[in-house]
Amino acid sequence: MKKHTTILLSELSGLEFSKDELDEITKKLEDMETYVSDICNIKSGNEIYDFDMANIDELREDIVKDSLSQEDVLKNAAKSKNGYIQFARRK
Amino acid sequence: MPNNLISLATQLQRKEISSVELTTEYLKKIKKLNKKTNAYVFTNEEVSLSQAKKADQIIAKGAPSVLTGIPMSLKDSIMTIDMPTTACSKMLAKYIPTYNSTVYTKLLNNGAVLLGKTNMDEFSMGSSCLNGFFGEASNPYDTNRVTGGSSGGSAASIAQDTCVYSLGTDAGGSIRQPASYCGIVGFKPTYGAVSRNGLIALASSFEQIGPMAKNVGDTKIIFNVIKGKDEFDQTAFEIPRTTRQNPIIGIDEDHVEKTADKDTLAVFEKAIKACSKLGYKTVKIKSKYNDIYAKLYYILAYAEIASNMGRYTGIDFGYSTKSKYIDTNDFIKKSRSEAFSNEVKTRIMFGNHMLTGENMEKFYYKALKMRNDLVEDYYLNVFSKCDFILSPTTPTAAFRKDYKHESIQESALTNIFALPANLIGLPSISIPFGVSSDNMPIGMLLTGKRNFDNALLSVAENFEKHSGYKVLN
Amino acid sequence: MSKYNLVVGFETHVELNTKTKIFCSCANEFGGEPNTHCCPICLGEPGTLPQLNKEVVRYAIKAGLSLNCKIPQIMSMDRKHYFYPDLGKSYQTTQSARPICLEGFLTLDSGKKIRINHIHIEEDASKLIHDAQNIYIDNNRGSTPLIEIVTEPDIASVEEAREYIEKLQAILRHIGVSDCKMQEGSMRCDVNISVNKEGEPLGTRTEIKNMNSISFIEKAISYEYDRHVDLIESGQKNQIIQETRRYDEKTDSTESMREKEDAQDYRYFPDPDFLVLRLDSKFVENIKKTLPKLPAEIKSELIQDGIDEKAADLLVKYKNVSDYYLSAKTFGDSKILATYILGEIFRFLETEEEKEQFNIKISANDLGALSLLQKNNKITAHIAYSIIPKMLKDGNPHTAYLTKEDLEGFDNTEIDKLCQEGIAAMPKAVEDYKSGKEKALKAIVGYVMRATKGKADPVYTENKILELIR
Repeated sequence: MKKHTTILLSELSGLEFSKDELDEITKKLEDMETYVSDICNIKSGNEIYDFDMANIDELREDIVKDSLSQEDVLKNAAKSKNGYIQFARRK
Repeated sequence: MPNNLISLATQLQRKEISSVELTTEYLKKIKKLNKKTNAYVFTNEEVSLSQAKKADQIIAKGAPSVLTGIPMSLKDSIMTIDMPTTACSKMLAKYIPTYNSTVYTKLLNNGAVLLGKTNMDEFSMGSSCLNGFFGEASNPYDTNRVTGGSSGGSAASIAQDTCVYSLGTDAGGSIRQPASYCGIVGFKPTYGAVSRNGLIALASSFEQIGPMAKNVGDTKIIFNVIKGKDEFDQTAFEIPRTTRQNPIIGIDEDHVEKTADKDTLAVFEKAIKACSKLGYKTVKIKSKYNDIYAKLYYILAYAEIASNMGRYTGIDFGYSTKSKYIDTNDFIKKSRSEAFSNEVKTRIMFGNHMLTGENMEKFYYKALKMRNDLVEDYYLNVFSKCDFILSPTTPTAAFRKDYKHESIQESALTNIFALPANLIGLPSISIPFGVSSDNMPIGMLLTGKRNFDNALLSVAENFEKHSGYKVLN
Repeated sequence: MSKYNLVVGFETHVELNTKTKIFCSCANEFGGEPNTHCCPICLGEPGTLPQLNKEVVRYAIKAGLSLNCKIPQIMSMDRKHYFYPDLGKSYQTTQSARPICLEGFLTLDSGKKIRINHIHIEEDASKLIHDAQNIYIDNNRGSTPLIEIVTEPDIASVEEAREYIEKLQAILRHIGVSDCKMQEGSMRCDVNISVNKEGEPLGTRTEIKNMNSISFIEKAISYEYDRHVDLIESGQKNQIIQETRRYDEKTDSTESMREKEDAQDYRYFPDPDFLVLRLDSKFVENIKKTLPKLPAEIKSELIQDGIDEKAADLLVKYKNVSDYYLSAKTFGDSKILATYILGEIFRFLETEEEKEQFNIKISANDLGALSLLQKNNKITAHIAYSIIPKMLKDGNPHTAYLTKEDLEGFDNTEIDKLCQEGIAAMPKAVEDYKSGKEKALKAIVGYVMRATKGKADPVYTENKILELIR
């Protein structure tokens, strides 16, 4: 697998790797891909595995319920200001 | 102390012992024994005792439930406001829960007492319980061996009797395998039988919360309390009542013989003998997908994992980097990379790999079609012949901590018997049935058709009577 | 210039005005203190699962039916993945494979059908405020319900673009699923533009996202058309790349947003936290039954009543106005009612907001009755126009402002007689008028007005006098 692909994947995954780590993870992904590739040679049906069916009456009614307090919303954020979650663009 | 919920409940209701006394005893035990296994990662005596007090008040008023006043533990990926919920991760180490999981709410409504949160592989990614941020767990029977995972701490806490029962989670064997390794009962319900609201998600279409306990009877009681439809999980529904007289037990002998080690095979033989003792007919079954389960799991489950793990950016909650960063993307990458272990990163990367570009069709959708084929195969070729499948839970007893699996194939074998239940959504239970030649517990697995949880539990209870295994107290 | 066809398609995001958000029971409210309408679900906290809002499904089907869409038997949800501070879960739950509405159309006045490819439901992102150092996140808007209406590239002119959007707004307002206020953000358009020569394949398209003003959309389309054509004509066709551009209102131009197309692999896949939803035919039928008359139908009715096109468009723009009109016309005269509404009443209701609410103190009956009086010449338009503002202000019925004489009114023969009287009584004025002093006519009109205590129709009177003089 090309390292270029690993770098692309790390962007999509929100991860960054050092040069060594990149080699390591590339190898791992290659091995795993090889391992699962068997399925490409097996004939399959055309229907995908689908989730169960639900009916409309199982959905939620449009009734307002209590929200969290602003305090509760903000208590897990690293920084907040005037009720907003604050996040510095760069540091 | 009595070894089952009903006896304990009776003692409590007769006021032979109070919940506060019982809880205090268990807290003492935890203090004494937890360092051996590191089964618990969080406890809070104040919380436990205050819950015990409440339970005693309910008992005094009359009409308590069987679970009232009885101390239990919960896997650290099950949301509780009263105690930390971190999924044993650095990412959530300081996270403050803002809501309770549905299962915890149900247990509280039944007067249960929470002793603590148990150790697990970080974000449920692992089959050893060596990958948690708060340290490894050790098997109580041999601390050089793993408890199994990811619900390893839950399994160990029951095995050490530092709680009466626990709830774990199982996306690819994570309740049943540690249950087998630790000599306790672990049950993964039919997909959708128990609400996933409050379960820190790993692989959404594979996982269920399930009871872990010393015996099947207790497991049944707990399951009946935690199961059911839930407005907070639109994939959950009411399991119908099911029974099965004269069940037919299906056995894939070739598959088991090829996969299980000598010790496990010996216990498996005993389980087959138990079938005749119970008067259950056995039939040969075969699935052509035996070599495929793990591959489908890696593709589909890891794709869901990659998706579910996206929310951990450090922006609204969770670990945030203290390093310098140039923009939002950089912040996100640094926070996640600093917080996540290698196992977590690998699974996220592979999951996204299966969803990117051409791979979406080539791997993801192909696997999704094969998952459907698998369901059809089981119903056409397996459950047309039998009602329940019997196999070992795992190919071996608990492996040594320093054991390095040689290949992906080898590590995939650990859960080969357990995986079909996750891929198809079947109810599946591990019962301790014997020991290995070096006295490590070995469990046997019973798997049934979707929605046949009650029937499965009854059959399992019968099997248990013939088990050659005594739970360590 | 005209040898190049303009090809435009819209993807319009419309905020639904259900009471709660799409996947949780938080209030779906505009404004309010930041982060006060949030819960673990819409914040994407660990372990949470979505609770699909039944009303969102109903609203979306309603929108689809009003746009002539087919409603499929089942629908499902998908995840669209990317990282951004306004997206808590780092994926947006939307629909890709099996959307809620398929293949419909919106008909323009010319009869041309703008085809709707599909409509899907999805959640909105949170609100971000930027300053030089920081981003501030308000999650109130996060997970509010949206429908996205996607057209085929059928729009061929700037005028058609405007008409499409205005008609879409009118329809969605009429069925009550959204207030479609672009300036407030409850309706946003992504515009896709390309150009090609007749008979040739479609050109490369560029996209301008999140436009919230029809006039800016018109300008952006014009600018893009010129830009594409210029590039083609100067042999730089390959400089037109498929990209997202931003419209800058200050310079009245578009600029490239330089998105890294590579990194934007959204990895759509079925969202495992949702079951597949059966869109039960009875449920859909019931929604169909509750559909009100749509603007196009009301407009035809108005035109048949003799109302001109421009006025008809104004009357159907807001449902409360057209509802009122339709109700009033059962008691009164259509054309006269139209002038009352679009004239004195719209003058009284100063803002668009007030016109949309159309919360007036005059009942439809009452206005209808007034219009009949005018129709039957019991009162003049002049009188009606003078009492309507009073009725709007004080809330009294029309009878409070009209005397018995008013109500009895003057018929034309009486006016004619008075005109003749006036002419006879003011010969000098007549002469002055004949010798070019136009103002002199007013004096004679004044005579008649005084005689009728101001109740005569001044226009009719003036014309009669002129007629008699000649």
